[in-house]
Amino acid sequence: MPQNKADLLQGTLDLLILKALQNEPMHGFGISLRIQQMSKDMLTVEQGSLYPALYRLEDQGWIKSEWGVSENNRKAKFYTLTTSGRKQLATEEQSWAKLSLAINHVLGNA
Amino acid sequence: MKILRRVRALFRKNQLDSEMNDEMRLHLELQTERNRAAGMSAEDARFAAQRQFGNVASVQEQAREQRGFIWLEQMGQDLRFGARQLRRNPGFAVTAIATLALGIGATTAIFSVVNGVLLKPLPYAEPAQLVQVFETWGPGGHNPVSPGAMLDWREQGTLFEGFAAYTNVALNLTGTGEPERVNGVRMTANALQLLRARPVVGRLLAADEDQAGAPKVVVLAHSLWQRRFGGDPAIIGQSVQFNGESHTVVGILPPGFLAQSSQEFVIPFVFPKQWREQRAGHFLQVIGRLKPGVSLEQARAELAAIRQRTDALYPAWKKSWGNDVVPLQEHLASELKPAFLVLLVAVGCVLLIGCANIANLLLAKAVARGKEMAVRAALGASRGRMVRQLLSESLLLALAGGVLGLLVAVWGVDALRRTVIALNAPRAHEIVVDPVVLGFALGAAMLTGLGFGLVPAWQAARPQLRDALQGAPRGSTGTGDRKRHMLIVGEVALAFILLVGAGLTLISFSRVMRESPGFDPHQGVTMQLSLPEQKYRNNAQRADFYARLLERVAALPGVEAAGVGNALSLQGETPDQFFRIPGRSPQAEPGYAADYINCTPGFLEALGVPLRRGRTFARGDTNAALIGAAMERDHFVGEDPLGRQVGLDNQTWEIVGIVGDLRTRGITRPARPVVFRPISAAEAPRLGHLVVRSTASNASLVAAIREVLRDLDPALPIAAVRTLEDVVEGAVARGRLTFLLLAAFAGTALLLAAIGLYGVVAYTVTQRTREIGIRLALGASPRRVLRQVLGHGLKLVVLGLILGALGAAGLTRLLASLLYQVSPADTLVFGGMALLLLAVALAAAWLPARRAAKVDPMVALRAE
Repeated sequence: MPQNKADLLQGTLDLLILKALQNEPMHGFGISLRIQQMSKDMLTVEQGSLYPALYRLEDQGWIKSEWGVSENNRKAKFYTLTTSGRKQLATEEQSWAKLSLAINHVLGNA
Repeated sequence: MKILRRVRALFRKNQLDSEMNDEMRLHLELQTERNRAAGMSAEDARFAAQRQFGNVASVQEQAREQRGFIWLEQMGQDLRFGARQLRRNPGFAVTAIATLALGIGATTAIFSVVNGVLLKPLPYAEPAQLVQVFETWGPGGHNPVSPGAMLDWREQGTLFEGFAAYTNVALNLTGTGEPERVNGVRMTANALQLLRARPVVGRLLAADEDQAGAPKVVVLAHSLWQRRFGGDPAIIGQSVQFNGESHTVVGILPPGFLAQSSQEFVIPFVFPKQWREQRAGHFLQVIGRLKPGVSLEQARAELAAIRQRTDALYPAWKKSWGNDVVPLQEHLASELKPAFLVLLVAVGCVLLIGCANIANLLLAKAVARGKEMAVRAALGASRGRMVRQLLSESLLLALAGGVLGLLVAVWGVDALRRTVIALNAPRAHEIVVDPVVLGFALGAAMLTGLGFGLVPAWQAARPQLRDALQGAPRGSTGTGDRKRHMLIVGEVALAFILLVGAGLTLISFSRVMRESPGFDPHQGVTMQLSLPEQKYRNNAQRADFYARLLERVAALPGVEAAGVGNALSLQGETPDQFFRIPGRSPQAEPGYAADYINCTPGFLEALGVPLRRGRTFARGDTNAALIGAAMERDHFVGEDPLGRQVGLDNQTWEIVGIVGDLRTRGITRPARPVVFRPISAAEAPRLGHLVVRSTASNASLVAAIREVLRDLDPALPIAAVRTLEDVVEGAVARGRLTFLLLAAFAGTALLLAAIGLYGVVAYTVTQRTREIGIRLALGASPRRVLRQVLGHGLKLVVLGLILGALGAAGLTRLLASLLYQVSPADTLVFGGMALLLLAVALAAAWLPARRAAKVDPMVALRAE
């Protein structure tokens, strides 16, 4: 599937993934479930965007991966938030807050 | 950190790939299980999971892009694929690479010649400030300089850092080792400083070393130092013998410093005192260095001003003379520039034609691969990616052709360099395969690769998906056809231009060959003798030697005539003087420029110059002179020169005979007036050309003459032993070389164009086999089909001819300076070459056309 999301939305996906990994390491499927859960079923991540995002985040050094065993005894790659990833999460949460505030102002909702 | 990881990823590709596969598979399985848990059937669950996931391959691709230097991987993939494609079509690959190698190799070879001789700046500091200075006689009449004029400029010029004069000189080097005749330069003491020479060992000439009475010194060229003195720095301070005189070696020049590789030493040029007022004889080559920031115009203006101020000191007949200043680099290159530029254009055309052929072939192949391209596009390949992949094949070809071409070029440069040196062209030794040339070759290869690969790649990367995948009926002419036809038209045009050029040079050359040099080149031998000053101090001694020599030589068996003269025809070395004809008013006709030949009786007979009227020299002549026919035509209109007088300075002589014209300045220059004077105790040249005409074989004659010389003076080495035919050969060698090269290029171009045309027509026939089959089945005669196919091909050729004719009309102007008595628009050549091209094209198109006519309709129809 061609990547046709705007950069804004790409950054948002990164934020969601980092948040999902805040508490415990998870594999790719688990992360997509968790995001769906946390958003109260309002958001579903297209798997076509999930994995590229995961690899990108790993490339940036915000998450790291290692192979382990999943719940049903299968080999799975688990992702963990790194220290710099935690810092990045905090930064991105802040900028998201500012951004949504600004947009609300414009829309006359603040 | 990131980079490191990427580099590591490059090497662990397979492992990482399989890991990624595992990860995605797991995701799919988990999603499928979830779907089943939600109630779908096994199959539906799986389908839903896959649909939701999306295009696995694309995701993996994107993931891979994150991972490593993806472009490197892709390039590797492309190159490997391209190589495989080429291996499957070895015939095409070999032809293409061979064509490219020849084209790129030849272009690089010619370019390096042009670079060495024309483009590279002279190996002197600030070469743009160096100029060659002339005295001029009428427009474009550049003459060497008179010493008086040069000394005037030295005294009065303010815009010049200095002037230096030089003449070529050849001296006998004796002493250690074999006596050897060496070429060198006589230069005023400041010359090497003006050129900013930096000696490898020792020093340059000191400022006062060109004054009369100064100790004799010499600066050696690097080549002579290596060759004869073993490159030993201890040579400084030693003396060597030139023509029997001791010269102290004071310095060694850096390699390749002097413009001609044959020049191997520099000795000071001593001006006799009387030259200060000598403004009537012209024999000095003068270079000057402009001060920084001075332009050529300013320099010319200053020289003109000096001329005006000193006008009273000049002889009356130089009233209308002027001066000119030409950049030194241009002057050294001027003779060869037109020829080399023409050859560069020609070889470029050949390269273009070769590329067009390859482009045509690639276009055809690209169209044939339409289905493959469509599948790739459907799988998600971007257009850029497809173009890159197609281009990789052509780049591989280009690279292979370029590397091979470099080999061809190295060999070619070597051959050309030796030929150009043999032609005695300046700076010939600077022709090397240097980084500039290498860069040029590589650049040419890349450009050609892009050139012939881009169009097909672009074309093919835009597949009509539906048609290609469904297999649309072949029978329509694709969009690629128009481009291929245009390429052929272009090829034909270029080939025609080259053919016309070759034809013109052929005719020019044959006209040159037909010109008589003025003497009879058969059965004659010549050699140069230089009488060293120590042994033969004055004219009387020299004349005596010549007389004794000729007495002995004339007695040799088979000898019909023998003589010695100060110059040989066709070499352009004949000195010229301004003569006067007594009895004419100096106001009305100030003087007559004529070449001056000083010779013994027998010289003209040995050369085979016919006697028109009167008589030639006899022994004992002191007051006689001969003139050439041109002198009679130009200056004795309506009068009989016999019995009249001709004079130089304060002497006059009686004209006793008129002889045939001698082309003293070269075989293509018109014959100039010549005045002959006998060698006598009053006047005998230091450098004498012995000419002997004999019925004996050349080898035995030369051996016999050497014997005589050894007997008379064993220390006198002989130089330039040649037959008279060699002399003529030397004069035409340059023209012949240009012609041969141009003919070779034109022939290659014709062959390539023919191959290209064959390819296009054959392809069209294959494409339209079905259509032809239908026509034949419907009753068309095979001859008709043949004519139609031929006509189609010939239409392209005619278009090419018209385009080519226009181009040739323009480009052959470039040839104009090389042509002798041939106009660049010679209709015979244009018409003849057009017919030749048509004939070859007909032959090339005939074979596939015949194949078309022989198509079996049943087979053709069924094959679809």
